[in-house]
Amino acid sequence: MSVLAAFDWSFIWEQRSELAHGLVKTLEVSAIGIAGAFAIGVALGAARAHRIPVVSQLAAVYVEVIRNTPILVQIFLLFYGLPQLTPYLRFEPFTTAWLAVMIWGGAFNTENYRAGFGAVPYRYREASLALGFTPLRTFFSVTLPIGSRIALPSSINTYISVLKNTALMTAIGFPELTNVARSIAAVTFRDAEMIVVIAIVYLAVVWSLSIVIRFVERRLALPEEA
Amino acid sequence: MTNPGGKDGGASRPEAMIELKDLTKRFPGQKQNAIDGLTLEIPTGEIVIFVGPSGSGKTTTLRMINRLIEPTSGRIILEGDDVTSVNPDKLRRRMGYVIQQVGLFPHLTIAENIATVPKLLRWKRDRINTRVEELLDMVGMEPATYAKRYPKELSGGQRQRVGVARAMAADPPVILMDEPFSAIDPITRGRLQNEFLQLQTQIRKTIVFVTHDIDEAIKMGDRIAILDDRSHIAQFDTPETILSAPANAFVEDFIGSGASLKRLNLTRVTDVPLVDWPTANVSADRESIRERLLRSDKGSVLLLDDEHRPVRWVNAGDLDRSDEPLLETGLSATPAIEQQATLFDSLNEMLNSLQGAAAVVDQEGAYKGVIDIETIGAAIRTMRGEARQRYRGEEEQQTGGLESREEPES
Repeated sequence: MSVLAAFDWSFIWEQRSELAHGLVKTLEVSAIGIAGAFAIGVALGAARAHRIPVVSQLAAVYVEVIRNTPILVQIFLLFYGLPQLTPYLRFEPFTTAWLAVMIWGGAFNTENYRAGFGAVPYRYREASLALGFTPLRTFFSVTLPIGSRIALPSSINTYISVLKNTALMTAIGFPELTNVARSIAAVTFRDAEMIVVIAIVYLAVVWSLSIVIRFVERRLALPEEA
Repeated sequence: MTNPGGKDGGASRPEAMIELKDLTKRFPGQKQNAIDGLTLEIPTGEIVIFVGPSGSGKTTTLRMINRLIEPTSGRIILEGDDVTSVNPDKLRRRMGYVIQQVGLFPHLTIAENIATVPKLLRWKRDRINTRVEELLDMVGMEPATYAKRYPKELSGGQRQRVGVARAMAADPPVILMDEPFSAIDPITRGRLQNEFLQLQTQIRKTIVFVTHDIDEAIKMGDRIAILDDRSHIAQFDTPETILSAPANAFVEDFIGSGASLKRLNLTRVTDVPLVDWPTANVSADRESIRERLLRSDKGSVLLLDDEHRPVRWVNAGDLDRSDEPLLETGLSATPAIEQQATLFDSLNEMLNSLQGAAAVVDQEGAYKGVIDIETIGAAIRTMRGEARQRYRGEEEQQTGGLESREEPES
């Protein structure tokens, strides 16, 4: 408590607009990353669950590479490694930021959705095919809605991690919340204040995100789960 | 390509809705065929039951009819069209399908579940809504109460009803049912079976029904195909003939003991004449009841309440015991038998009640008559005679009818 008491709160207040700017960048990158991770998860999760040749094997390699390397290394590879290979793959920090969290989240989400689609009881697909749905329509009308609900709790964890991982973009100098706070601290030597304040902001954001998602989850809850 | 009236096919034999011709299935990596050269005609408007021990291939056969499993060889003819290689999705829209665990979509309401096929066929919204209500009514579920519910909120029996409604949504000529009632408690199962038979008298669909339960087969089937290993047909005939003239030892074994008792499942109370029994109102005085008893040849009087519902059986001894109220003497006459019940149910009730007779009531529970051991005995004799005649008739045809007909009767 004494630490907090020693804080200069008016200083933090003065930095509010700059911090808000960083927060907006964090949210932008997260939003794109989460949307992308969702799309990758559904597409590759389906390919994995239905064992679609070639795509399924490639997806498996992708998931293994991403899961077994630190995300920081992945960010550096994107930002510093790719331009070495070809100058056409030189990305802005912003592009690198959302691309990195999207690729990372997509890999974890592929696993979430693979498990979700795999857990859809066969009788639902059988009923759907027997009613005259094409295999594609069966996927969109039955496997996707039921499997997504099964995958929802684990994919929510992935989305929350995507948001938190945006903090690592400070390593490539992208001005998101953490980076902004560190820059302010660097010139003002108020490290403690800045670190605590962004911790609180992250906590608040992730918490509200969780509340929203839990609400959605309850609305979507699978009505037959007895 | 339907030929109306079946003019050239013989009037007694309905034309086939589905023909299976030398249908064979071998699963990859297996040495022998799972289904081995099955040939069968499924007549229009009948319930055909596939019954057999587990592993006999009955479910595989059913799934080959709508090509959820593709046959390795052989042909499937539906209404005269060869459908062995047409688009399977289009084929399946001509066949409703009810599966064992129902498979209602858990994320859709009852109305949405029933509407799946009409939506697929792009019906107009109004037409879909009307059809959903009609179907819910048809399976005995109040549309206003159930349309908006989710499958989870229904009992097993109700889900099964919705499953049947969903299968019939676009009015397909054929309905395939894979052990539809097997996961349901015996009491509800019996009720669903009766309701389904009642429904079938109105809709007259061609139904292929798979079960492992020979009693269900006897009760539900117009014709039964008893399947041996690899879907070899051990016998394909009416329940009556199968019970009275099993084709071979396998069929005999499969029917099990008590074929006579099982035959009682074939006859409904509506099919037999009821006995006229002396009745009296519960509030009638003992003297008038005794008088009625003496005037009849029955040993007891059936007391009815003011709504004409059977209450108790009383005999002379009960009437003598004037210290006890009439309603506490004698034997209980409830539960009474409904008219759709089979003779088997009636016999069961008689044995339970010690009365040797059971009161029959209509849908409102009002007294219609009495069924007794005599009635059942007579029914058994009739059935045996009919079956024997049919069996002999068939043998005559096979061995050359003229010769045997000329043989003098001793």
